[in-house]
Amino acid sequence: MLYINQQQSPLQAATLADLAQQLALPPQGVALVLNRQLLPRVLWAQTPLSTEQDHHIEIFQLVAGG
Amino acid sequence: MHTETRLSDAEFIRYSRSLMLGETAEARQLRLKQARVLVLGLGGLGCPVATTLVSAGVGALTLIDGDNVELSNLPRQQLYQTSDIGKPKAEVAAARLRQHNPHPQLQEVQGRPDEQRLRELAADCDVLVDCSDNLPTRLQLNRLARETGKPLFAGAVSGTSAQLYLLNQYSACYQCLVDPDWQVLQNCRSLGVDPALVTLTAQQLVWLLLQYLQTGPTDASDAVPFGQANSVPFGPANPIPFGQANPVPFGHYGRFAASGNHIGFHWYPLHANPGCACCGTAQQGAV
Repeated sequence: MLYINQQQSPLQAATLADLAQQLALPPQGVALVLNRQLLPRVLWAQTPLSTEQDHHIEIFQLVAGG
Repeated sequence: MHTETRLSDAEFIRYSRSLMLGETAEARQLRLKQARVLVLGLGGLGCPVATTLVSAGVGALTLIDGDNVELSNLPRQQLYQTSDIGKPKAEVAAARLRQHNPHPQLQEVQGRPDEQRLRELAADCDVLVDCSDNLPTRLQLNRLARETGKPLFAGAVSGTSAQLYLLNQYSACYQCLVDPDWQVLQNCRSLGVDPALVTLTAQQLVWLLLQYLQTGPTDASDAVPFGQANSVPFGPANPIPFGQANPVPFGHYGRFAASGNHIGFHWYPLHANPGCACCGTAQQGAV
């Protein structure tokens, strides 16, 4: 089962990049946490989302102000 | 690192409440006195960070900002007063901090130092603190932290979002996470910023920084690495002294969240991008 920002999601995706595409995430400025690990975008395509286990995903906007 | 080996009588009195915090308190206070910290940005994050460092007794501080005080800064930036509007932030901040505590050595840099000057300033300090408000500066300080091997403590806020990242030469770097071409639309000018949240974020950052600056080599080797502390049962069988369980979560990115029974920063290990143009293996091979 997939949980996105604490909500159960019906989406199915082979990889994180696949999921990002389905969610239409913007191309920059987004952080994606998979099972408490913050993964740079370049790793999304090579990170599979197996259906054998639950995945907890958090997506948030990066900010750069001060 | 300065070579001060003792606290003066006036410092003993001034820091007396801090010196009550355990058997190692004096050694910790002395380590703080021996440290020089660079703070880049004296806005909503930089004001509380600099204030707490100076009031707590840091030895030396390099303060950098190129802006002048504006009326809209005042709800968050408590080093400045209404009568300071239009004056250079670095000069006003340094003057006010000297009034508060005459012991720390303060070096104010009003303006935006070029790469070479910033590298020299960074090389003189033990730690770099990013309190800036824009991506190019964040990438520049991240790069200089990498080049000089200095730890980087950074905060970032905008709207109702607050984030922290703590990086060193063994961790991933900021550029692993962000695209240098990212056009940041989410800034304080466009989204506003929550005054209490920015101050809270700065104080969380400076608390971690003080833990780092005051922790000696022995303390660090005794500590449980961050991320493992939660799996270690607290209690008489396995006591972990407060403040030593997880000195500093280097290599982690923190995000403020208020939900359920938790209000505070959630910390995530940041994975490295092997192809990162700043710290990646290709870059290291090219050096």
